[in-house]
Amino acid sequence: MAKNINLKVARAKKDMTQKDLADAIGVSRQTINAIEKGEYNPTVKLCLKICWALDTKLDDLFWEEQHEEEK
Amino acid sequence: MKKKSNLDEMQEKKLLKIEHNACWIAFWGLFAAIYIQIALGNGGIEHLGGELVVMLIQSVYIYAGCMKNGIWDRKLNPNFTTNLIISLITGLGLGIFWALVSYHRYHALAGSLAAGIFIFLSTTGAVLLLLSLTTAAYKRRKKKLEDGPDDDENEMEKSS
Repeated sequence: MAKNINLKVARAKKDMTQKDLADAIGVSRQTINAIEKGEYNPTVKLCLKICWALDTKLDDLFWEEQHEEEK
Repeated sequence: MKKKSNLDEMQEKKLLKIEHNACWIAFWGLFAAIYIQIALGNGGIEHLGGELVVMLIQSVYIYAGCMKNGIWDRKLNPNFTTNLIISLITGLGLGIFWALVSYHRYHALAGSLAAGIFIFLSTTGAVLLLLSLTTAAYKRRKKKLEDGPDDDENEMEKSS
């Protein structure tokens, strides 16, 4: 899984640390860190919580173009 | 009242993975303990009763859970060839084990070989029969689950 740079950027725009975001949505900092590093694939429910906390849309943070081998 | 979990979804998933590994360590640990006890000559029910009951409960639980959800295996396919290969491997393993145990106890080569062949044939047959029956049950269950109506169809039937 690729790194989620969009999430990192959106969080930085909001001037939030990983800990701030984690506290805001009720998860551990490790989880936010793992999502940003592309090590954990969050559920849609958690994706929505992140989007609400960062005032963004799902597409802005989690959309990926389909790769050729996945078609 | 349902107590709130201390874990978030990723931690929950990791804990499940840890518990999954622990479950299989316990399963194969029990399996090894049973065969080591038998090899040491402690194969009676008084020595192995607890291990056998725990392993049986664990096996039945896994089987029932998988059957209920229409799951067979991650990689193996439920067909005759696979069942036959598994039966042969199991029969061969058990046959060699019993032949060695028998030879260790009685030092009679022909008798030990005969015991090994008997165990090989009977185990292979029994496992193949059991796998064939469970495969058939799995296929019926899977068909039932796959052919079932969609949830919204159920709701429409209820509301009409």
